[in-house]
Amino acid sequence: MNAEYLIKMANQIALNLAYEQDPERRADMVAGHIRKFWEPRMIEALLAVDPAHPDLSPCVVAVLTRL
Amino acid sequence: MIGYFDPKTDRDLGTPASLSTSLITLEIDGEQVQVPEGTSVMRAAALAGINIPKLCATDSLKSFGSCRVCLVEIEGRRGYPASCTTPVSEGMVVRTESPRINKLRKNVMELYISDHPLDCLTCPSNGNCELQDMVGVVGLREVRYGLSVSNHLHLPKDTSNPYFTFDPSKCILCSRCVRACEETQGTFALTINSRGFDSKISAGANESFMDSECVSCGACVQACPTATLSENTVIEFGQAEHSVITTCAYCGVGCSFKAEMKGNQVVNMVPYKDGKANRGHACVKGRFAFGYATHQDRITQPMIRDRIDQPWRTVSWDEAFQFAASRIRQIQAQYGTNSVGAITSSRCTNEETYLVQKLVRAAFGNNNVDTCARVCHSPTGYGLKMTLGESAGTQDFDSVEHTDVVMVIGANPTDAHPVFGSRLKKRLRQGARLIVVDPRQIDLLKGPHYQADHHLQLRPGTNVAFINAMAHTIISEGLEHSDFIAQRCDQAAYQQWLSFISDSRHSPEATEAITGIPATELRAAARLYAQGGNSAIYYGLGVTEHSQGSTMVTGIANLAMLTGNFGRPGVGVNPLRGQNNVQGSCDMGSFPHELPGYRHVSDSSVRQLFEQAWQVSLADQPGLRIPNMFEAAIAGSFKALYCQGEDIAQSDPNTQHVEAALGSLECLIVQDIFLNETAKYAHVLLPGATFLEKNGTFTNAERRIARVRKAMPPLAGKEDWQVTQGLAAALGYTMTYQHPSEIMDEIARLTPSFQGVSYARLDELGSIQWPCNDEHPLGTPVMHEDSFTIGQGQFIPTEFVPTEERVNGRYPLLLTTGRILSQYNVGAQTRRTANVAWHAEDVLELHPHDAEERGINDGDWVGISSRAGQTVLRARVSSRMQPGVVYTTFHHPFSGANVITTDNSDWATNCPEYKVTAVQAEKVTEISKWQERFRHLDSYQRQLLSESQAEA
Repeated sequence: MNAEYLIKMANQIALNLAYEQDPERRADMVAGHIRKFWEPRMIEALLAVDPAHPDLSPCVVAVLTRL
Repeated sequence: MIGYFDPKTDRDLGTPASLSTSLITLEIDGEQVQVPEGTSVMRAAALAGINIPKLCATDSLKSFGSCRVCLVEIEGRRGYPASCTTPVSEGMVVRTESPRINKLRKNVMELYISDHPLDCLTCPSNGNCELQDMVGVVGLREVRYGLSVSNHLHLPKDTSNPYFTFDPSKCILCSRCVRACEETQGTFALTINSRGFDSKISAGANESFMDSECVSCGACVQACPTATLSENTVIEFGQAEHSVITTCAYCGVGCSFKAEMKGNQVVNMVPYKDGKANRGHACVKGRFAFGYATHQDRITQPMIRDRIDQPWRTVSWDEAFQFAASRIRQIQAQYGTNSVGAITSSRCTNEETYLVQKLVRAAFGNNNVDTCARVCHSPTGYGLKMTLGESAGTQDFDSVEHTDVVMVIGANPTDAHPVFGSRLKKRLRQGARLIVVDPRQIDLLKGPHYQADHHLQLRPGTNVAFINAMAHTIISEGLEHSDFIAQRCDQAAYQQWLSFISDSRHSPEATEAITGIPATELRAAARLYAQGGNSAIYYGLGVTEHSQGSTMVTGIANLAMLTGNFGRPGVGVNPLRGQNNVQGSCDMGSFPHELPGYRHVSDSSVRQLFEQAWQVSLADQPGLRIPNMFEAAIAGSFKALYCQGEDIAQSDPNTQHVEAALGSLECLIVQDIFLNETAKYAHVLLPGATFLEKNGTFTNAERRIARVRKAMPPLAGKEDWQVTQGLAAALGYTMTYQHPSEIMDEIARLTPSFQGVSYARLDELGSIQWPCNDEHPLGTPVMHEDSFTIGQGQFIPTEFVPTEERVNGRYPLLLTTGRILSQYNVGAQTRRTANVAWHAEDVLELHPHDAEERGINDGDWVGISSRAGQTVLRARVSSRMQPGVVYTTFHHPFSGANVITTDNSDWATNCPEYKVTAVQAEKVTEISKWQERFRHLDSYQRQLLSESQAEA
C-alpha cells in the first residue's frame, strides 16, 4: 500500500493527539489508535517505511517500534 | 407473505391532547368522562366514543372554531358553544345531540353544500371525504339555495405542483391547509386572500403552488377534509383499499408512514400519526417521491459479465451466486483471504446489514466490511464513544419540545432532515432561542415568528477552534456546571482538559482570526448556551466531514458535559444522521474493527460469542475501511468487493481515485435497485429491493428501531437479505433464515443493547429506542440519565489542527458540499421522480463578490478546479454564501461534485473532508474532460445493459 498515504495518516493521528505532552505516552496512544483501527497490511506497510523517511514525524518514528 | 399491522389508534379525536396531569370529570350525553384539564369538549367526547360532527377540527392542529358544525349544548351556558374550542370544566354537563342542535348543524351544512359541486360520485375524495361524511351525519336532504346565485364553482384548478392538485371550487374555507402549513410544517406559505365571499385559499401572494414558497411537504393535502387538495395519484388511481404501516427509506429522521395500497400498488403515502419520530408529518421526499420503486430503470434480473467492457448476461439467481462465489474463492486462493471485502448499505435494513457483515466475517473469513457511515458519521461514533461510551445520539426527537436553547452546528435540517426541521421550528416559534453555527446562511436562521439569536458564520475547517473558544469562554466566565462535572465526570480527565482549555490560545479573541467569528458574538452565544436553561446541540455533516471531525464531536460532548446538558429531556448531543439506517448499519457491526454492538474484534470473549453462534473462527484484527479498500485495490492487494445498496462511485470523494480503484478490482458485485454509477464497473449485478418490497427494521437518528413492512412483492423476487443468504450459500456458508424476524432474534441474542428487541415487541410498542434490555424493557428515549455508559464522562482535549487543504493563489476559494430538500443523497431514487421539478441539476453557489471578480453571471457555466480534478457546473450567484466560500450538491452524477473533493480525511476515522476543498472557479464554455469521459462511459454502459435486456 502507498507509503505516503500511510505516513500522512499516521502523522495526522500524532498531530491530533499532541495534547498529550509526554512523548512516550503520546507514542503509546498513537500506536494504540493504529492497532485499534488499522488493518494489518497497513501496519506492515507503515513498518516497512524507513524510520529515517523525512516525512515521518518524530512521534510516528517512536510509534514504529511499538507496533 | 405480506404482514398486516393493525394500528391501535388511528381516529381523529378532533383537537390535540392536553399534557396536563390534573383530571377533570364531566358528563357527556349522560356518561361520566374523565380527561386531563385543558382537553376540549370535542376530544373528551371522542375519547368517550362519541363523534361530534366537525369540519375545521383535526387533532393534528390547534382548535380553530370556524366551521360551526361541532356545536353542543352545555347546561348553564347560553347558546351553542363550539365543542372544539370549549375546554372541559369540572361537573360540566354536555349534550352533543338534540333536535335544535341538529337543525343548526343542518343549516350550516346546507350553506356549505350550496356552494359545493355535487359531483361526489366522480370526485377523487369519494370514499374519503369528511364533508360528505358530515352531510350524511347531519342528514341533509335538500339544499334550498339554487346554483343560480353567486358561487365559486367556476374557479380554475392549480396543477402546478407535480404531486397534488388544488381545486378551489371544492374549498370550504376551513383553514386546515393554512393551519397545517403554519403549525405542522412552519412554512406559512398559505393564506386566505380577500374577505367575505371573495375569500380564497392562496399560495404565497396569489401565486401558483410551484411559484410560491411552498415546500411541497403535503401537510395541507393531508389536512384537507375535501378534494380541494388531492394527491394526483389518488385522482388517478382512486382510494386505497388497505394500508401497511412502514418506515420511510429516505433520511435519518425515519418517519413512520401508512403506505395506502390498492393490491400491490402504492396509491399514496400518509405519515402515520402515531409514528414517534414524525408525529404525523412528512416531507416532499417521503410523502411523494416513491415512484422510483416502479420506475422502468429498475434492475429485475441478476446479470453477470467477465469484463466490464462486455455486455451483461442475464442469468438465474443461482448462476449469479455461483459465478460471484467462484470468483471470490478464486481471488482468495490467488491473493489471500484478505483480498476481498464488502460494503453494507445504510439504506438497507438492520437485518440485511447484519447479514452482509456476517457473510464477510464468517464466509470471507476477514473483517473487511465497512459502510457509508464511514463517509458521514463515523466521527460521531468515535467521539461519542470516547467521551460518553456509546456511539449514538443521546435523546429522542420529542426532546426538542423541552429545549430552551438550540445550537445547530453544521446542519441544515430544513433541507436534509425536514420533518425534524419543522418540529424544531415549532419549538422556536414557542420561544426557544437559537444559535446557528454554519458558514452558510441556512433557511433555519429566520422563519415566520422567530429568528436566530446568533449566527456564528465560521470559516469552513475551523470548527474545533470554535468549540474550544466556546468551552474556554464558559470556563473563563465561571459558567460551568460544577456539580454535574463533580458527580458525573472523571476528575483526572477533567483537570487535564481544564488546563488545556484554560490556555488563552483558545479564547474567542485569539480564535477570531482563525474562525472569523467576532469574539463578542461568540461570548454572547456561549453565555446563552451555558445559562439559557435546557441547551441541546444538533449537528450534521458540517461537523463530521472534516479532517478533525472526530475532534469536533469530542469537543461537542465536552461542551455538553461542561454545562450539565445530559441525562434529561431537552438537552443532549444530537447527531442528525444522513441516511435512513446509518445508525442501524453502525449498530449492526458494519465497521471493520467492531462486531455488532460496537465491540472490538480483538475482544476474545465477544469473538467467542459470535464464533459459537456462527460456527466459525473469526479474524481478530481490524479490516479495511472504505478509503483503505480503495488504496489497497490500487496497490493490488484488494481484488473483490461486494457492495450492497451504496453508490461509492458517485458519493465518495475524489471520483477519479475511486474509479481507478473500482477499475482495479477483478470482481465487483453490486446489489442495487438501479444500474448506479458503481455498477458500471461491476461484474455481477444483483437486483435489490426497495423498502416497499421487504420486511425488516430501520434505526433512525434517535436510536429508534422501527419496522419496515412489505407492501408489495420484490420486483426481482428476492428481498435483499435473501440475496445475501444465497450468496453465502454459494460460498459454502449456509444461513437458514426464513424471515427477517429470525435474524433480529439472533441480533438480540448476541447484542446486549438489542436484548429485548423482537418483532413481537416492535408490533406491541410501535418502535423501540435501544438500549432495550431487562433494565430498559421499553427502550431508552434519553440516554446517560444517572451515569454515562462509559461510567464517568471523559473530557478529552481537542487541539485545533488546521486542515492541510488550504486556499492559495491557485485555489483561492473554499468549496463546501451539501444537500437540498427535494433530492436525496446520490439522487438515484429522487432523480427518478417528479422531484426533479425542484432541482434538475446541481449548481455552484457563489457570493456576488466572487462572481463579479470572475465575470460570472447567474446561469453561466463555471469550471471548478481543485487539486483532485475539475468539473463544470452552472453558477448561481447567491448572498447565502460568504465571500470566498462556494457551495454545491452532489445529487446528479454528471455534476461530478466529488471529482473535485479530495482524499483528505478525518484523522481518527478516515471520514472524508467533503466540507473543505480549496478550488478556483472560472467561466468556461464547455464541459470538463472528466464529464466528457463520464458521458461516454455512461452511454456505453447503458448500451451494454440494454443489449442484455433485449436478449432477455
